[in-house]
Amino acid sequence: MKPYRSRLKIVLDILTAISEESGKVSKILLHANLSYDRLMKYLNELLEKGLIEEEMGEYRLTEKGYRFLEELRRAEKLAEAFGFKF
Amino acid sequence: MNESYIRHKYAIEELEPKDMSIKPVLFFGYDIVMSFVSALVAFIVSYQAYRAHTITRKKSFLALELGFIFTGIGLLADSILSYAAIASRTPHFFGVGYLAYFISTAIGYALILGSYIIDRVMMEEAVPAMIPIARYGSLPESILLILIGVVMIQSMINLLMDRSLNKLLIAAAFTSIFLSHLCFMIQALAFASLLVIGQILRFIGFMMFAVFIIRVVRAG
Repeated sequence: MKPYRSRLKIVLDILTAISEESGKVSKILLHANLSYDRLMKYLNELLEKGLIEEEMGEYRLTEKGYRFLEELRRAEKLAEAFGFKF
Repeated sequence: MNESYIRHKYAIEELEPKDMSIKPVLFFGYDIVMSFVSALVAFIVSYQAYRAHTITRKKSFLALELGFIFTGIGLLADSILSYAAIASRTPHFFGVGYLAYFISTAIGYALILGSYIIDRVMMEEAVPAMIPIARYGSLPESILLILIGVVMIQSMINLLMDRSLNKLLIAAAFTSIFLSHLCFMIQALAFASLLVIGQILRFIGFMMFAVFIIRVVRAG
């Protein structure tokens, strides 16, 4: 059985993929391990919130997105250390 | 020798219990500083939990944030009122300081324990988005001991399930704080010198939290 991934963890995986890999959908799909439809739903949500931007079919993090990713990583570390689910 | 030092020294001599077998006079004053620094560390941990709560909206982080705020307030009140007692030579402040410390810390530990309960029970959360320290009483310390004991066991279970340096720091910090309350409890009954060890252990515990926070901030 696959371990359950929370919404926060999925968002973290997507943002990490965009920040570390190239912003191509195929790469993000591979890194985030999501179906195409679900990934597009998340990407649209992140676009609406101004965390990512799209250019020539490639996604990249905005300034706000980088700050959000940084905070999310810290929150994950805190949760992990205290044994909270993330 | 300045005037404040002399006043401080005389205040200690007046307030020191006569039946204390080992007199930790050299430790007087340092305990206040250690409580103060521990309070600051507690506020820093609380701030990190606040930031995590802001971004994740998880109630367990909110409980953790409030828990460390109350723990910090307790330590701060104890250190400030202990200092005030020495400076103004008003022993009454010690009692008030300890009462504030006990109430606030008990609430703090209960909230930290509550953060684990929230995280475990509310499954849907994860889905969406000092001076005469001889005045420390054995009964209140035993209450704090039980509360922090449960928190310590939980942090150790977390460590055993999935080992990491951060989890080790948290477990070691809570263990150190647990042992400090054990020392405070026993010293109230028998060995006065244990209060020095208790203060140092609690300080070490909060220093571990400080190291952990530095690691978290750097990881971001």
